[in-house]
Amino acid sequence: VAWADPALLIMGSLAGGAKHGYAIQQDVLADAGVELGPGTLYGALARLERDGLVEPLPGEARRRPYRLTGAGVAVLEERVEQLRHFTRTTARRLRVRPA
Amino acid sequence: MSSRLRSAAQLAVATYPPSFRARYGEELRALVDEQPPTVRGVADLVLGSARAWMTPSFVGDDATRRRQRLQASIATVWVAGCLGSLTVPGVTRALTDPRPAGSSPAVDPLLSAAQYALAICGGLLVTAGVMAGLRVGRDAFARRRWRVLRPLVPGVILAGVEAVGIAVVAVLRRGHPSQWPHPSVAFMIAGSLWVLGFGVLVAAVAVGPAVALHRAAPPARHLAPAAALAMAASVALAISVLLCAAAAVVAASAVAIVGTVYGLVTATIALTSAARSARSLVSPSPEG
Repeated sequence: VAWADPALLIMGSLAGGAKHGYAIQQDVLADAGVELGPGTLYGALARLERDGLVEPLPGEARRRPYRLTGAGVAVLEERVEQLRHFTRTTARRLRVRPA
Repeated sequence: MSSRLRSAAQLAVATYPPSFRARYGEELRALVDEQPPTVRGVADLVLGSARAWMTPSFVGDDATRRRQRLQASIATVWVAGCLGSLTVPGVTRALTDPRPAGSSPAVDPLLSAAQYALAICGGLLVTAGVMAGLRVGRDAFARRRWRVLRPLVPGVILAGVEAVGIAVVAVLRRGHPSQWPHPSVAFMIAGSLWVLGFGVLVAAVAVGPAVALHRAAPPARHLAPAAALAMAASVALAISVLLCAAAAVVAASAVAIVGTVYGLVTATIALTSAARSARSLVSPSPEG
């Protein structure tokens, strides 16, 4: 059962600071155990940049770092709050489920 | 195996839309180079490319995004129109040469209407091409940007070769009407090469101007009239293909139905891309 959208995983990685594609991939693998393929990663990055949620920083053309924008931070905080609510509710339901 | 997979991955990167490659191509290639190639990685790139074609993401300021959107729509409608225009002659040939026994009388009017719609589509596409081409070509000549004009060269050369081929065929047919088609291997080979050349010509005429437009990247205000014409051409293409589909269904010809499926795919691609440029056409930006 999939639990996360690639865009959310990328934003979660960028919450720790600006990173380029390979670093984001490694970070998501280490933190979430999800292997983001190169096509998935750059497809999601393109959508996030188009929507103004991440922005590229000056750097080499082949290893351009990205960071969250203000709008990106706001969206991520909202999603994290929703996830927190989901986690709390689900944990409570699991504790009281009938045998 | 590893080098083949790496080549396949690089090839998959090359299949992304031009606007995507211009913005993310270098980074994506670097990422592919940095990790051991896998079948899963290649499949992910192929799917990513398909997604990028279906839901393109244009980045940059408003003027840049508008230019990229209009450019992509003109190029897509041009390519789809060139390839889709083969549907009408193909289906006409399948339904009339030879005419199937018990053929419905409704087939001919449907095919005639499809040919009119295709002629309108062709006229609109050529006008759009000339409008965009004159601006781009004049600018490229003035600035000596031969890189912009180079993609047009194969189409021009092949058009010349095919024209000479048609002239030779006409002369031979008129000179030797009793020996037509000539029952020799050389004749068959020459005929096959001419047909193959025609296919390559259509591909070169479809792709060359699209690549030239991408390289020229003219401002949006120069592209808007051509994009409006491309939108109308995509509607005419769809009508011509739908009329062919109706004729194929009425005639109950499996070959013609397969041909119209191909046409419907090209018309859907053209219509979708043209529709996506509608907002860019009605919201001009001062810088565009």
